[in-house]
Amino acid sequence: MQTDILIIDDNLDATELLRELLEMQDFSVRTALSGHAALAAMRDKPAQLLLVDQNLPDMQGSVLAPQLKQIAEDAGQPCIAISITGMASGTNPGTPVFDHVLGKPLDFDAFDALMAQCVARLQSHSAR
Amino acid sequence: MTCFDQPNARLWMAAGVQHAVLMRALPAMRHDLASPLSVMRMGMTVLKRRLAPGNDTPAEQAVERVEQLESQLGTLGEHIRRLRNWDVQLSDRQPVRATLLEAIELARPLLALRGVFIQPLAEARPGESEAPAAPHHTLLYVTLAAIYHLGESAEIPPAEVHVTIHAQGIRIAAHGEMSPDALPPLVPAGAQNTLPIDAGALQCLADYLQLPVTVTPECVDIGLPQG
Repeated sequence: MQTDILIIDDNLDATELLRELLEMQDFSVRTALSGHAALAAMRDKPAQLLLVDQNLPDMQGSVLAPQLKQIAEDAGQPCIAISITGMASGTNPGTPVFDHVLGKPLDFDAFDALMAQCVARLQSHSAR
Repeated sequence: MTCFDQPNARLWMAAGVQHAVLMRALPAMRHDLASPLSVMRMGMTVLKRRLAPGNDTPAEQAVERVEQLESQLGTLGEHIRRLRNWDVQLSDRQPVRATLLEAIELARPLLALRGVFIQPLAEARPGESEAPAAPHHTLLYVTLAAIYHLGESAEIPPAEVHVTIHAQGIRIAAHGEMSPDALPPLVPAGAQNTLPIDAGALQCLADYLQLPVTVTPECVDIGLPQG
C-alpha cells in the first residue's frame, strides 16, 4: 500500500520538487502551502507521514505538527512528523514535537534512509 | 589592576557582544543559504533521474528545471553577497528601512523558535527619507542586539517585539506577555551557550559603535545621526 505523505512548506519550488522526487519513489503525495491548508488537508484525509517546514506564513511548524498528529490520532491512524529546517544542522533525533528533524540542504541518502525507516514503522503498525 | 581596567577591556567586551549577536543571527543566515541550495539539490536530483536512459522527459520540462536552478542560484548569490554586511570594517551606508528589514528577517526565526513574534515593519510613511542615514553594519548590529535583548527576556518573555522608525531614530519595544498556555519553546533562551545580551552588554556595544541608545525594561530607543 502506498504511504500517504503531506508536505507542508510555503516554498513552492521546494514543495513541487520534493513531491516529484517522492512520487518517483511511488509515494502518494499531497502538498499544503500554509498551516491552515495543512489542517484542512488532514481533516479531509489524514496523512501517515508529515514533512513540515518550520517557518510557515501563518504559524510555526512546531505549533502545527501536534495539531496534525492529533487529527490522525483521532482517526485511529499512526502519523510520523518530520521537520525540515535550515535552522538545524544535520540530522537530529527530534524534539518532543517532531519524530525527526532534518537539516537543509537535504542529504538525500539520509532522507531516503529515513523514509524507508518510517515506511517500515508504519507498515509494522498496520500489521498489528 | 584587574583585566577589566586594561585600556582595551571595553573594546574586547564590545567585540564579545558583537560575537554574541553574530552567533544568534548565524542560523538564520545559514537557513537563507541552505534553502536555495536545498531546492537546487532537489532540482538536480529530479533532472538527473528524469534524464536517465529510458525516461522520455520532454525538452521543455528539462529547460524549466534548469531555469528553476538558475533562479535559485541567483538567490544564493544574493545571500552570499549579504555576508559582506558582517565585515568588521565595512562602513557602507544605506537607508535605515533596508537595514531594519534585514535585521527583522534575521531575528525572526530564532525568536519564533522561542515563541516570540516579531511584527513586520510598517509601510513607509509618505516623505520618509530613503537617504542613507547610518552605517549599515553598525545599525544592523545594534538593532539586532536590541531585538535579542528584549525578545530573550528570561523573566517575562514578551508575546511580540515591534520595530518602528520615527523622526529621531528607531524604537524597539516588547509587547504583551507570552501566554502561559504556549507550547514550550523549541530553543530556550541561552541554549546556544552564549551569554544573554543584557542592558549593560547592549549599552557597551552601542557606545563602541557610537550609536546612542536608551534602554528601559520594555523598550530600546536608538538615536540616528541627524541631517
